[in-house]
Amino acid sequence: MKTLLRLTNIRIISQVVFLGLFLFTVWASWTTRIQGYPVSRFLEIDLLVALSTTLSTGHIYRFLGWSILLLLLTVLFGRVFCNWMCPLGTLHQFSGWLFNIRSVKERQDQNRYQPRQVIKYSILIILLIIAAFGTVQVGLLDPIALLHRSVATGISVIWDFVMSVTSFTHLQLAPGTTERIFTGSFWIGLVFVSIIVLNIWHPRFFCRTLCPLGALLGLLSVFPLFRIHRDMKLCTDCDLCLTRCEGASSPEGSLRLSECIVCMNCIDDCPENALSFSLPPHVSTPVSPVPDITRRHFVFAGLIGLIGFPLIRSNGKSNDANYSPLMIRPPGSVAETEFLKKCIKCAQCIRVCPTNVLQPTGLQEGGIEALWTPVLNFNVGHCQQKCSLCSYVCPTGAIREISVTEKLGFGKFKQHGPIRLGTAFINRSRCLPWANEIPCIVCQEVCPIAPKAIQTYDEEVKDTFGNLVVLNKPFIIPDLCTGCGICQKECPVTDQPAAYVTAVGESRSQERRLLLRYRTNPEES
Amino acid sequence: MKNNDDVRPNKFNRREFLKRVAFASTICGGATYLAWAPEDYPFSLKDFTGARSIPEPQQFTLPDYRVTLPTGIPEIGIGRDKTTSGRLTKALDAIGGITQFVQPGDVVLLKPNVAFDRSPELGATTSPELLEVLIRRLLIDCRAQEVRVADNPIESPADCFVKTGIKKAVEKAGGRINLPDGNAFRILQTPGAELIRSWPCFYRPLIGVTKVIGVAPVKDHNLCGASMGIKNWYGLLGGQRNQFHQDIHTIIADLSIMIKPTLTILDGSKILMRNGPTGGDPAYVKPWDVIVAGTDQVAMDAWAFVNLLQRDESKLPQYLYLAEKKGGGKIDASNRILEVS
Amino acid sequence: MPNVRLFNPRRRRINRQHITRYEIASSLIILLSLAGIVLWVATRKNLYDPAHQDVSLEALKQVSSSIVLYQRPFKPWQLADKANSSQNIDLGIFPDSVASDRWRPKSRIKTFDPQNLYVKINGEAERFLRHDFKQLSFLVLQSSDQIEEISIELYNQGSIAGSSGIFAEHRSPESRVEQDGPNTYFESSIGLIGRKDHFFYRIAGNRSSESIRKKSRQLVQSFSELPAPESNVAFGYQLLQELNIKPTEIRHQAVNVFQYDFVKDFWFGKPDTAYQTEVFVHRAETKDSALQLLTQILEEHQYEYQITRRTENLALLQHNFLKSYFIIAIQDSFVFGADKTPDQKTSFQLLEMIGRALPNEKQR
Repeated sequence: MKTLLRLTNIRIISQVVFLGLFLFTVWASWTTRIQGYPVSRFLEIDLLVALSTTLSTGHIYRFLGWSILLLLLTVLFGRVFCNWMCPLGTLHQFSGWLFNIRSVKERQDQNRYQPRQVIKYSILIILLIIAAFGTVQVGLLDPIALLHRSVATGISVIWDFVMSVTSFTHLQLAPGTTERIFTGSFWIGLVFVSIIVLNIWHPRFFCRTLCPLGALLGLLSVFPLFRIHRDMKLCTDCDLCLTRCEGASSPEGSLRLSECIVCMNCIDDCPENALSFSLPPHVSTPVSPVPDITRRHFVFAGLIGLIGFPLIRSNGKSNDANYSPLMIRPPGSVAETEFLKKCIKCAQCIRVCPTNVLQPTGLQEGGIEALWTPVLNFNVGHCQQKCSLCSYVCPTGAIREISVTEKLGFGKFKQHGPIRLGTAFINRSRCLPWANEIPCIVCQEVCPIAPKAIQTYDEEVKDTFGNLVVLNKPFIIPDLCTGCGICQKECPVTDQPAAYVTAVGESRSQERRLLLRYRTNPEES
Repeated sequence: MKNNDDVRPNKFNRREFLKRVAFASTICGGATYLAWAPEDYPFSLKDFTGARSIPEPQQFTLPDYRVTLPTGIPEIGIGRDKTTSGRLTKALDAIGGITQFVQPGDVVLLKPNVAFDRSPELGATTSPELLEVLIRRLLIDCRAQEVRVADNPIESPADCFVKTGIKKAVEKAGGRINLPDGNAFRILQTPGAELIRSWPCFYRPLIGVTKVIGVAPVKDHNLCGASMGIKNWYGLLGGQRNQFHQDIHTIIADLSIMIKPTLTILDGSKILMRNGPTGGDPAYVKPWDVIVAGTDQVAMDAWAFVNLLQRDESKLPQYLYLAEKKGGGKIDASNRILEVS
Repeated sequence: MPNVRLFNPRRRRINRQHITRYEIASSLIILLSLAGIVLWVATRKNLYDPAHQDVSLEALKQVSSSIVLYQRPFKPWQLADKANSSQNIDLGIFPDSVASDRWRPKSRIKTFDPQNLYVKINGEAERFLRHDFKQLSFLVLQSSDQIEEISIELYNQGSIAGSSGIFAEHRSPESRVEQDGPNTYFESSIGLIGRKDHFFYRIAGNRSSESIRKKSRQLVQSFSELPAPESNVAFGYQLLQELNIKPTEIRHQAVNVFQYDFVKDFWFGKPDTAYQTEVFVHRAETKDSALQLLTQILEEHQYEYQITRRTENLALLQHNFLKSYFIIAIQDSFVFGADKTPDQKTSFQLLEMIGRALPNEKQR
């Protein structure tokens, strides 16, 4: 009993609990399961997400205030988050531990401080500067966002593949649907698998060298109330504390407070009981609170951040000069430049979408700035009418939280009209009734608007075989169309659908508006 | 660099020679046999034309789910009443009572229309109230072993079952919902069909089922005129079923012979008069008090077209005539119909 | 195979000796907080509003039927003509069924009003104007082989009185008048002449042929679709119909009734087509003017008739030569009677019949 209640064991329990909670949020992010669960809470306590979106927008959205808990935890106890709560950290530690066959001496060498550990601070500075200018790119490397995205679009594919041979529908991530696809899942999965596998050669490589959240928490750990304390009178300089040091924080010398991730392993490894996690005593061992950032690092990182932003922005894809017709954002999204100030590419919306229509963008739709942000791909699915779950799970408000009544424009939202994702068009040179005298009209059949936004010119013609056929030739009423995309999804010309939706006419942007007047709702602005 | 002392001495004698020759001939002989032996030989992997590599999907056929009834009982029953359960009782009693069709121990599949995520008042999907009453009757009065409810909707299946209220009603009554996924489909053979002789069908809920009942709403349809009992079976089709709209009347006629259900029930409590099949406006719905139950889908559809959708008898949809020709039923319902108010 | 392990071989070995009380206490506290967090997450399950992900029926009903779209009519299969497509011609007042695949409008519809009617029919215009003429619509149909033509003159005579009046002027005792629905017509050698409600029409082909005859009869049927007059049916027409007189035998004479220029606006009906007997009815302005009219008629009639019976409101006359009877009476402001009756008894019978059918003045 005595040996079981050690802090390292509690830490392991805590890691398991939080990883379990994380996997639970992944499992629960599904239309029938989500109910009231706070499935984006990990992202909402992520301090880096809160800080960068505050820098870019000037406001703190919805539940992002919960990150103050993390702030409090860090200024009091140091980087406890990294080794006690962060699920990605747990995965790194686990994969590093599982295949670790080194001897004691090799382990100690692996855990010595490396100068390259300062890179994460440069990364942090670059990301924060770019965020201040108006585009949030933290999602590319933020551990929680990266983990959510990788699991939602990369690992889920692997899991679904395995689950497809079983019928454990309760364990399936998307029960009752055909196999889900995610564009770009290869690259997302590759990044994830690479950083996990890297732990075999360099333990906690991501946490020590790349993680910007870790860097931020490290900067905040300079005056902790509790820290690792080495009693110099008891210490024999055996370096055994380095054997399992996760943070490479030099516990055998001047403890680097910004690197220590409070794994408590050094306490267990010291045969002299010289190490403890406590309030600093009267006479304290020397510590290096501040990381080894030099002015050079600072200036170079700053410069890269400064020139990075205009370079990213200048392709015109995020403002209206050159926007892609495929850049169709989820319902409730804010206008594009605002969207990019908020989206952390966490793929929560992609995960929860019941029809699999949300996909991470590639480089085509928005360039590198919008890489892996969510867009709707109507060849894969359509936007389910009575669903606004994507807006419910978005932690930063890139997709503003809306009710279904607001999405469809009923009740007190009647004046605003429905939220339009884009506008549908009929390509008459590919549409079967228009181009080939073959009856069809699936698009009108599935249009969910009342009255239907697709009406027809009904004509009876004699086709080339001499048969009289009734042709219903569809045309779109753009005043009614909300861009839900079910016409594109169901159009039988499946490779390049005759009924297709493009981004023009979306209601989130005044500049991308199509119609002068909405003849069915004159009050709509 | 290995030391010469560590190397084991290797004696090369006849035994070694034979061992090596045996090894080589087994490997090469086996491989040669697998690749070159004629295709009908056992374990031959030869595929000269490539025909053997084409996967043959698993196929199945549907049994006839109909029940032989004593003569003299009308085939179609119409029940009018203010309450759902009253209507259903009257309609079923008119054709002999539900116990004639479902016996104790039967595994029953109910096929409602759950195609869209509409709320039940909009008349675009089957009424959850009717399903609840029917399932209870099947489980309690008929002592059926299991009642499954399945459909392959156009929109997201999970959302559709929840928003139509059907999931809640079915689970409350004791039934089980079956959702479709990628592995639930198999090729169904329907000899005599023109378009769906061999087509993927929602197979999994049909495994072990002994009785099938279709429960359909009565709806206007923009392409084929009306969507009622026969069109309801469209929901069992998988694959690229959006191609069939190029000849919609023929596919519906095929549906009438694809499956021979035990019973079909048409719900005339909320009739979608316009803007079908999706509806969307409560003004398109006409509340009424009829349920039609029977074994001849073609006649029931014809009756509902004239009496419920209030359309002209001379303008019956073409698929009814095609279905009659194919043998799915007979349009003329006189002498086979009994109305109970 | 080289001897390399796959997994971490080391058993966890703890080097330190003792654990402080603080550590145990904090471990317990942390465990409890972890349990608390898990419990908190579990209790969030039902804290949501299903109506958030749905639209209420009330909201749907609010905007129900607010948008009504125009449905273009179905376009049936028609072989397009190279010269001019029949779809382009606006048929005006003519029903759509007038034009067909075989008979296409040769040119546009021409309309004439009372001012310029004479341009079309010259001297005849006077006749039509007398009978309340309002508008003439003129259309020529050409057969698809372009050999035959049919010209249609559709006169809007404003009222049933007008159309039946001009119709009566066109018909002769030999014409075989037929009734087809609301149409009354008779055929001529090259077409037909008929009327429906307040419309009067003359159809004439460019030659005598079976196809023209057939088309003329079909035109009569399509004229059933002509709009009904807005105003009420003339009372006289209705009255005579109530007396079971066939519409073919009802006529209206606007002027020169009984060949007297002061007698106008009489409705005539023949109860029995076999005989010459006609009943008539007229509504005067007032009872006095009716009485005055009666007196005037009798004054003129006495040259050819012998007054057999005379009371204040009634007179029975017999023709000097033809020996047929003429009876005339007044009831309220109605002047009515029968002409060319065979005997006195029939005269009084008919008189009584009409008298009973007349509407009650007070009810007006």
